[in-house]
Amino acid sequence: MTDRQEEQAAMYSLHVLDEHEKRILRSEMKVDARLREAVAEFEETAAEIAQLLPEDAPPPELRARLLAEIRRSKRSNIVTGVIFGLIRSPWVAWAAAAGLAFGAFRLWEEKQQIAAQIPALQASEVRAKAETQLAEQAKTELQQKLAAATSDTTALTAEVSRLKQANAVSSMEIATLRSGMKRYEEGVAVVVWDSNAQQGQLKMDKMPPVQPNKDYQLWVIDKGKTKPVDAGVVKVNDRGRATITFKPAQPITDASRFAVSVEKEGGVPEGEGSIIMISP
Amino acid sequence: MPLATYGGVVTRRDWAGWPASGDRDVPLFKCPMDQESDENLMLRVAARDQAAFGALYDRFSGSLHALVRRILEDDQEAVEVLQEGFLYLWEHAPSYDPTRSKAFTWSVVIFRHKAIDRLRALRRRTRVADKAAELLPPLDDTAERSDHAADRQERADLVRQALLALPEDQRKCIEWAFLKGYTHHQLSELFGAPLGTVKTHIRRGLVRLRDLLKGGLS
Repeated sequence: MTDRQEEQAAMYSLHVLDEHEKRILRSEMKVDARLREAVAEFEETAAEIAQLLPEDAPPPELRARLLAEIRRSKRSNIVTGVIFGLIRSPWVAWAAAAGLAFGAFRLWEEKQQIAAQIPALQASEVRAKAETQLAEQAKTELQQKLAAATSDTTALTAEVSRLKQANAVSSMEIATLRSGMKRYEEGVAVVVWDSNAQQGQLKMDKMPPVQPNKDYQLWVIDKGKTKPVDAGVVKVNDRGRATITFKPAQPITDASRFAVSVEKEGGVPEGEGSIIMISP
Repeated sequence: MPLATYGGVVTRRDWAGWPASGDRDVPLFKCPMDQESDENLMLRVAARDQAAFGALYDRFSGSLHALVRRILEDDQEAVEVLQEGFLYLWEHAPSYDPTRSKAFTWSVVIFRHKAIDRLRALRRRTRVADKAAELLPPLDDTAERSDHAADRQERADLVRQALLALPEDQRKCIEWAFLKGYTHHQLSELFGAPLGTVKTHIRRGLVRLRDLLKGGLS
């Protein structure tokens, strides 16, 4: 024990150390028997000072109050003791042992049942794994087929699109109309005809104005028909231009030529006037 | 090995064979209660003997009340600490070791600590003014004692002589610490002495007091 420790032990015994110093000393006391002994000796020595004080009897009721208090605490301890006594009694011990034995037996039984089920469960697991593998294979094959089908569909779609475009172009006819008449020789008329759609577009330019109460009228000449088919009236503007979309009055099977005539205002079902322009 | 008692008859073999807890209230020692040593009574209290507790209260309460009243200087607080201390003693008597301390001094340590803790709490609450000018009442060296405490008279005389044999600085530090619960810092401030000096006074004083009480004053 060091001088410092002895000094701390002396002050500890007088209860004058602060909490931090007390904690340090207590931790040292735990591992130092001589220090513990020194503290005990100092405490004993300091306590002797109390011998010098004259006795001073406390209020008389304090004694009765204390005895009543310890009787109450003792009864509480007795109740606790009875409870612990019951817990410690042989009957409780036997009952606890029997309960444990029964529980252990039930656990053993359950363990045996589970052990018996293990091979079947393992076989089921193997089967399930095989089925899962087959299903995985089938799924892979289906995915491959789906991918191939999707690819074919894409190719076919592309082909169809290409064919449609080809078909559309093939069904289109372009015809340029010309006039042998002096009055209309500067005029230009172009027809784009779509036989599939059974409709066409006419564009005219540099056409002279028609006489009052007259209109230009477009005709489609179909080889399968004896007379030209009415395709509508065409009104040109001040500069002799016109663009119209037309749909013939009858279905056209083979549009061989297109012609423009001057007819009565509003047009006529069958041609009456002179044809001024015609495609080759 | 006989125990160091004030005329008691308890032996180490006797108390080693004492029941662990009180399942009976009858005294195990055959001597009359007023002749039993303090240590014997304390061991019976540890065995939950209410009669022994009553007897111990009768023996100690006067001195312990004087001690806590001297420390606290407040009658009401002193009674509260006394009650709290005796209940603590009842609960913790099983931890009492008669080979390490006398029953009375063991009790003094308990009650003094409780009183000082209470005093320090009160100081924190009321901010008691500086006590530097206060004179500590002298320890009464002519106290009349009850019959039960008469056997301690000789010991008290020895203690008084031992204290008076100490240098005044050492004795004052020990008395103020013991009876007023002053910390070493407060003692340093109170006496205007360096902290190291106060520590040295306490250490040397207690060592000297211990040696005097152990080996006599010769």
